[in-house]
Amino acid sequence: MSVYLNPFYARASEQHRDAHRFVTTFGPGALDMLPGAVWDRLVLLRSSPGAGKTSLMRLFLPENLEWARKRSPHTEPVRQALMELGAIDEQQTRKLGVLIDLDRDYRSLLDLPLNGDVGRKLFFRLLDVRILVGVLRSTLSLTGLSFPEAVGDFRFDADGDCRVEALLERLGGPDGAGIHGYARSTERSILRMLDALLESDVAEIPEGHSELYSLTVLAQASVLVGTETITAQPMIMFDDGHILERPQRDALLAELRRRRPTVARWYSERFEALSHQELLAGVGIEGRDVALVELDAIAREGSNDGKRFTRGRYDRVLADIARRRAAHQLSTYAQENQEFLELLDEDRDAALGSEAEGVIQELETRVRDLEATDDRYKLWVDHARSLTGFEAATAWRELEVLINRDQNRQPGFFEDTLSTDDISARSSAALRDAAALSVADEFKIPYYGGSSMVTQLGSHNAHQFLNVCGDLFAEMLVDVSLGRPPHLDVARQHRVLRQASERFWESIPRTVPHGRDVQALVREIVAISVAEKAKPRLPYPPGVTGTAILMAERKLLLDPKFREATPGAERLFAALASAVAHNILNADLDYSVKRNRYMVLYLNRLLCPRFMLPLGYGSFRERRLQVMIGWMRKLPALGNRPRELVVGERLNFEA
Amino acid sequence: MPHQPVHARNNAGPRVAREATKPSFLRDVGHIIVDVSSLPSSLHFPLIAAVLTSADRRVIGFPAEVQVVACENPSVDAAIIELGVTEAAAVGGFRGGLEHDSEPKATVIWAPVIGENVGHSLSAVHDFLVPQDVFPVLPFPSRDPRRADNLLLQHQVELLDTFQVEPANIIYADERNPFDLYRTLSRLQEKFRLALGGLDTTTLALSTHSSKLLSLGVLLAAYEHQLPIVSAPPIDYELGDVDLSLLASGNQIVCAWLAGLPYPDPAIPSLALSPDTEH
Repeated sequence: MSVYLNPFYARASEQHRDAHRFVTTFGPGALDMLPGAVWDRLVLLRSSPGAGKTSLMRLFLPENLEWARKRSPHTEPVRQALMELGAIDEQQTRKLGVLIDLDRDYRSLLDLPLNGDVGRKLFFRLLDVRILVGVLRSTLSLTGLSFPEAVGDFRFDADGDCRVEALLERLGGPDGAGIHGYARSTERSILRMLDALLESDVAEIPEGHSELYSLTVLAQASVLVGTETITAQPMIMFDDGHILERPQRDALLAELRRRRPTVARWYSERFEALSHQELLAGVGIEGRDVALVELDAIAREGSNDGKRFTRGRYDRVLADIARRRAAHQLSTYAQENQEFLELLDEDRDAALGSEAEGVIQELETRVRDLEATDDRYKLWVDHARSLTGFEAATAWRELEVLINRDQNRQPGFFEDTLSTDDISARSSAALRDAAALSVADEFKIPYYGGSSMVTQLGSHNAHQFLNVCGDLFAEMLVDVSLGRPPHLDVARQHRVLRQASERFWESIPRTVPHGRDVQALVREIVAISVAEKAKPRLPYPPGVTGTAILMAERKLLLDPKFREATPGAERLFAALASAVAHNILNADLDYSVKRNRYMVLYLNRLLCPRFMLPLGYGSFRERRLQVMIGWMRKLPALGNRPRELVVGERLNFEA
Repeated sequence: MPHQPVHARNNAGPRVAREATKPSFLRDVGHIIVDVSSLPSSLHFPLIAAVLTSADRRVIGFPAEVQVVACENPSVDAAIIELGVTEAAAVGGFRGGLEHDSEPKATVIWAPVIGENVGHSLSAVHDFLVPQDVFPVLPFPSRDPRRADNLLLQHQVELLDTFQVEPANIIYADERNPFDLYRTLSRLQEKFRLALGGLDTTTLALSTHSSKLLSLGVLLAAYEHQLPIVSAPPIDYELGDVDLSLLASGNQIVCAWLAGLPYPDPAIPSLALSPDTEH
């Protein structure tokens, strides 16, 4: 059994129970993904699963804010970021965070025998009592008292507002004991109804609420504990809104967008590329009523203003999280002070090993065969010959591509000898990356490794990044248990990362709805990538790792009538929606290319090692909707899968 | 019984249960047998619980004799691949106080019954429950004596690294006897109640990722002690590369008599055997 714990494998849920662990491993840079104004309007957070929206919300719970405020210097970066945001100051916590998980019984209410309006009112009543219980818990936590023993010390003061007094009376208030009693009886009666197994146990349906009374109360009334007035601003956060049915979601958002600037309102949901989710017209005017925060887009491209969260910053946030997570274990288990990512070697010459001479020789021979007796490339050849190891192999391959491109150009009158500066002008970092991958793929040389690649494999998703780090840390623990320094060379990293990629690929059918169809979709995209990779001139360095459809065709696919009338369209829609919702494909909407707008679909980076594809973004090849529908139409009918497709191909790690 | 679509998966079971226990549905029936061989736990758990509740309450006109039958084959179970894990949720009828925000936060102890290839659903349930401690149940004794070891190896990352299960926490239960698991879980529940009752509210939450027989043990323990059961069922199933005709010889039909009198009671004269009665 394990003696050494792997800090990356600890579930997020474990982190959430321990304020110390949660706050000290939270990457403070993530707070810069938030816009400047988040306290007086609806903040709508959207992302793919595992991007960190729940963790971001959890940071604002009172126990975590208090820990961050009081435990300096251990929590200094997070503390500083929270102070800049206005969530805490030197003296006190400024926000009273309450987290409402919408992945609960709310959707079940729709299965009760109720008409639409009664159902909505019951939905609001259940939400109301949970918001109020959340406020009770958070307030008592903030004041060092325990729930529910101290609910009697809690009180709302309506300050003479008759409407608020009437609402409080309706909710069992104004004192905490009455509110708690009302909440208990509401939860019990509703949940008993949902859980009833015998017809005779289905009780009378309680009366509902026509709006969220709790938000009106929180906006108007003061909160007191004993004689102390709580000045922290109520901050009600709703997580996983995508679980709700559409009418419930719309009703909730309509309530949240009502102007209540004294109550901070945050709402999170999963990003869905194939829905009308992006339409904010019903929610409010962006900027004034609602702040839309698309975490995946910000992670990839930076924030809209270009200043608060710059492009490329997310990689540093991830590196910081990795450092914090592993620091204690590395120090304790291996007396290692280097940061986790620094222990990942990047020496590719070592990976080439004794094969170096043979590989370089073969590549050089190919270039010589291409340029024959042409002096035009003499300087380029001399430059490549001056290099050694993996750098030399990459240079020869790069040269092969450049010469291929050059020989396909329009011939000029004067065929001058090309200089080494001409390589710089005609080549690029992307082409060198493509050349390196090409060499590694052709000669079976370890390639995937190093801190930069490991960060890229996270695919801008914190959860995925932590899992990849966990696999590498597990490999380091082998060294630790043998008393060796936990440094991984490229060969070992390559093996671990390819295995992680294979496991991710194999998990798709088990974890993702329509998983087999999603795999088929990925295979088609990979086929595009492989075809482009095989071209001698490598036209799209570092390589193609995605596809795209026109936004106009996406709109067609969203139309149920079109899907019904077009065989294969429904299956494509389901597979695409599932692939994006579960992070197998990353979608970018409204990407502009040559006066056209596209929905670009990139492979999750963790799939790339399995198919020996590059990790850089940038290149995709668009396909028409009918072509994509054709991909689905050639699949066997659902339920009639031939056995060989069931087993699937597997990577041979012995080769 | 007509099928009605539901908005939340875990409502399908209670709906079926309510229909099946209506007086009009089971008129003039003295003996009810529930065949769970091809029913998912989200359906047969609420159904059996509803039937047992009606029998225990001696609802007028409801059958007093309740049996559950299942055709069991661990080799076939191991070849079934679950596709697409859904969000974890409490099984309908078995919330057991789990989702009452207004109650004090209970310490949750989780006892999952482990089967083959269930890593993803284990993770989903773990994330839902956020348990303080985990007591995995492995099948032993079992037809394949190495099955428990193989399951532990298959799920070692989840159990040992992610959930950080203590080796002493592992529980063993007879693969073919649901009452063995029922008694084990009942003892576990009692142990926590006695040890921790004075300190904090503790909830023993169950989940089953294994065979029908062991699932029945989970159901009986949950029914008797009002424990919550959580599941993250798959969306679909697929059969691996096996020859079912070769595995069929391992099929075993099991019957569990849950309510009523399996044997005549000599204390009740009307049920006493007469010398001429054949059996």
